[in-house]
Amino acid sequence: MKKDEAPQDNIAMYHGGRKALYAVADEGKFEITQSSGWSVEEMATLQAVDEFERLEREAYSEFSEGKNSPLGVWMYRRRMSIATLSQCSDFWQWSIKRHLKPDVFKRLSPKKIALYCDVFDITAAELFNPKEPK
Amino acid sequence: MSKAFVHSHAAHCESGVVSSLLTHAGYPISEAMAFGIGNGLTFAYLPIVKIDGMPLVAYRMPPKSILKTVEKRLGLEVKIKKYSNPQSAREDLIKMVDAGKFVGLQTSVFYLPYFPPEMRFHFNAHNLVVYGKNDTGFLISDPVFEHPVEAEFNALDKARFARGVFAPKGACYTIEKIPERIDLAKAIKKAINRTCNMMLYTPFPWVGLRGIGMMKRAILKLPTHPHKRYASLYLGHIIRMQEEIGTGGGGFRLMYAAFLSECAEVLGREELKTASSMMGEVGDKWRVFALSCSKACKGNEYSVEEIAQKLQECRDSEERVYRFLKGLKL
Repeated sequence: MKKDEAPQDNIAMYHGGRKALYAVADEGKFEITQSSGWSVEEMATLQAVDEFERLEREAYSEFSEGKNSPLGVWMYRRRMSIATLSQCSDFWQWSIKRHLKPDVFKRLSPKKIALYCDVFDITAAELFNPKEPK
Repeated sequence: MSKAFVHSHAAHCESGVVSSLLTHAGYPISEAMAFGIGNGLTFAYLPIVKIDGMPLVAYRMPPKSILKTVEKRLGLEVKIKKYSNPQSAREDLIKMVDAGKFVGLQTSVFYLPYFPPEMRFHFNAHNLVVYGKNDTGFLISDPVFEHPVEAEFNALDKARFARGVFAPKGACYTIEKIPERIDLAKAIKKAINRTCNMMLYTPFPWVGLRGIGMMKRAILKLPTHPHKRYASLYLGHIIRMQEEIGTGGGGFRLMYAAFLSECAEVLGREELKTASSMMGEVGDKWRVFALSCSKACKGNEYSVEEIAQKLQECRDSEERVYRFLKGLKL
């Protein structure tokens, strides 16, 4: 990649920032050059963000129908999967899967609720009543 | 140690921090050089280790490995500290900063307030340098950002004590001592040979050139996956691992090309310039591969055979570079 071939796609998620790339300068030497983003990279990142948002919306509609506990909504809102949440909370993956059921979630001890609140950085009231995703 | 800190913009967090700390400790070294002698370059494809349901794809060695390898190769004395609670970690950091030290930290990306929201994911092995503090927080030189940034005390505590894979546990490190004489040429030769051997002759099927072959076979099998969205998410995941997470382009291959061209000057071997431009072409091929993956992600018509073919070209041209380097008998 030559220095003037470094992508300058001004991608929105950099918020005006730029990233360092290595490219060939005039005398054939590699140098750091600033790039305002590559649309290929932007697409891949936004795809990952969108996937979490899609899962969050899905979890929310199941929550409002009473088929799912609010835990799923917060999990995806914090960009976590069951595996990530398990690593961050010390709960086993199978217990988290149980806690996703509304009946089981209702019976959770205050101690366990406090643990989830700590992981998500929210209050218990917020945990039980997540706002509708945008 | 000089008081003033000069921020420099780098492509990758760990090599950037190592370069910055060493430079301020009195041994100026570029990011590419730190990455190269730290044996940062590799390829690994681990289908058993999942990141949000996707296999781990890595273009560089595991976290901390650059720091530790550079320490060993140059004979430095690096002090790494971990903490059991945020209070003592913060107090200790304040003490070090007040004493005029520049401190490297391992943190999570998700909790760093200055990261753009779209780019915050649960990745715990980010590196940055703390070079001072003000009333509300720490002054930070994050190598992947163009300018110095700041983070409030509480926010940085959270980032330093995030849990999960690679949990940082407040890890911080300082360079305590640099030997009077450093044989850079020797370190370079050792590092290049080690990288070539790993890529060419690894006994593990998921590492090096064999790993690239394994990923290629996985791509060819994508159309048989029961979930429709999986193929698109999978290819997007590869692009992110290769281009988004601060690799300097082409999955660190372009940075390695920069390293090789610096080596040509240090060792006085013209052939390394050839190796450098060969590696540059490898980096470009990886970017072409990313481009063809992205067309598939957008939902356009695509053929996995074509994508796999692009990947095969990356693999073959990489092999030529390593064989060429081995032939130099450094």
